[in-house]
Amino acid sequence: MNKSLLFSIAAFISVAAFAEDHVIKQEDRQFSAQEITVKPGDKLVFTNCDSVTHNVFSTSDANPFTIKVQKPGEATAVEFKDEGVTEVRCAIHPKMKITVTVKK
Amino acid sequence: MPPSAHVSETPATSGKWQAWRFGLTHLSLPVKFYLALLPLLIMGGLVIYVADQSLRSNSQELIAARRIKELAITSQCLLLQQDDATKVMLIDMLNPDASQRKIAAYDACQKTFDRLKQLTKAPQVLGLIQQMEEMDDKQLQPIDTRVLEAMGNGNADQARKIYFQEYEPLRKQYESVMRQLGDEAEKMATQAARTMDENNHRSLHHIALTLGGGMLLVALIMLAVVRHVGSRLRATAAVIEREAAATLNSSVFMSASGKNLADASSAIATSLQQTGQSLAKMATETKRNAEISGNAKEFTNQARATAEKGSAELHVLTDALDNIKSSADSISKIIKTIDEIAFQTNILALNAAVEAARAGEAGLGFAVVADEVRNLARRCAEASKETGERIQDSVKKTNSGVEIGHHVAKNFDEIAEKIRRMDEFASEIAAISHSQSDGFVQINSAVAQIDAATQNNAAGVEQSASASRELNSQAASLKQAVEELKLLIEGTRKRTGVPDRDSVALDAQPPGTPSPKRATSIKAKIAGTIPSSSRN
Repeated sequence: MNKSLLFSIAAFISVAAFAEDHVIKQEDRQFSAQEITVKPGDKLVFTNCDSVTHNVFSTSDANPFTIKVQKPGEATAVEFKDEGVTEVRCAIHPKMKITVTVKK
Repeated sequence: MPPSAHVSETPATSGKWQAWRFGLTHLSLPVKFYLALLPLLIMGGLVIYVADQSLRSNSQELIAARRIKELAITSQCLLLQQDDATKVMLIDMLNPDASQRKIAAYDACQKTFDRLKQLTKAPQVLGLIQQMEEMDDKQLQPIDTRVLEAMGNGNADQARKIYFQEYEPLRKQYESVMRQLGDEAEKMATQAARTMDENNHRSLHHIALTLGGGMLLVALIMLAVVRHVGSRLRATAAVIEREAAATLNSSVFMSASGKNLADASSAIATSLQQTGQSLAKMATETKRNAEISGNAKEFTNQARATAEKGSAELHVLTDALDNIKSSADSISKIIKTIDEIAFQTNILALNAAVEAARAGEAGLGFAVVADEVRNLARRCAEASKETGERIQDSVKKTNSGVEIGHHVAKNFDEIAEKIRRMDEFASEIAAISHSQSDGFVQINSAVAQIDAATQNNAAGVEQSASASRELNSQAASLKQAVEELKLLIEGTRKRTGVPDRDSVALDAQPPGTPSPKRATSIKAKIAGTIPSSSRN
């Protein structure tokens, strides 16, 4: 029992040690980057630096997600597990667009 | 341009024209027909190309106009989809399906703008498209964003207020612009259709005119080609007809000549056979003649030997006669001496008688003796005279005999000489007879060969006659073909009694009748005696 618990903790620690977070800011109704390439398991931290609300979501089949209403100053981390290309948009601001490429 | 340019061609131009015409004349008939079709093909190709370009341009304009109208409608639909999504989000801000549809409609609308701008270069249409794009980008989307931001901030009333007071009027204005764009597109389509229709009519007119002109040009070229080819065909047909007629006449003549030649060959063969028999008979006779000549030569040899022997013996005889003559001469001299002695004796007797007379009686006896001596002398003289005469006669006869002997010997010599000549002649005759016999053998062989050659000639003449008959048939077929060719070239013109130039020239000479010069030449060639005038 103790061994299993220790193994799980070690595995979590190892994954946490290899995964990486990428901060994507939302400023002036634009993403801070137009495209980004990450590894499977990496996270994108969407941070609303605007004074207005955003509604960021994925329009692709790979790594579907939706943050829904994100108030100014909030940050939300989204993990990208599946390999492929994911387009991320804002439902309130259609011009906002970032392309996330996930590959090893 | 100088007046001479209209009146006459320069030598260089004429030379080029002649060379070009010479080149055209020597082209094959299919090539001429293809060349005749070439202008039509070129003109037709040009017209089709121009019409195709015009139609393609018009159809592209029409398609573009239709597409603009479709895209305008599509843009309106996409705007309605965005509006619908916005309305849903006004009620349920977190509706994910609405978010998806809104973004998808937005993206599609942006692409529609890009495609619209690529479809036309018409300023008015481009202006409407830019106006729509600017309205969407600078008015509708910002207001829509304000609506959703108000919703996101939880201020639904403000959001609805903005939507109904600002967004809806602007959307209607935007739809009005879109309708204008649709109307412009419809006008474009109508104009393009009208232009295409006009171009179609113009193209049809052009095609019709071009085809008409081209066909007229081709017809003229074909007419010229047909006239040229027809003229040459007529000339060729005339030549063929004339030659066929001459060939027919010649073949008939050759057939008749062949028959005559066959008859002559048969007669020659019969004559040769008879000649061979006669020659064989003559050869036998010549051989017999040679044998007889040999016998004659033998006998002549014998006669010559006998004659020579007789001649020798005659010479001996003449020698003997000469000796007799010499003896007779000697005897004559002796008798003359005896006669002189008798004369002297007589003189002496006379003297003795005289003396005796002088002596008287005493001399009587002496006188008697003298008398007797005188008688003896007289008798001796008479005897010697008679003997001399006889001897003279004998000498004379001996001389005559000698002369005769010489003459006979001479004759014998001549006979021997002639017999020798006869022997030579007989030898020559025998040699000639042998030679003639050999010649007859050769002649017999030659006659046999001539006979065989004549037989071969007869067979050849028969084959020639057969070939002449076949040539007759072929000439008739050729004439028939020429008639069909003339019918093909001239149609029924001759039958309708409208003779042309060539047929008149042909009719001037009856068909099947070669020219006198040619007939003479043919006959001369057949007879192997070409007149000197023809040779020259």
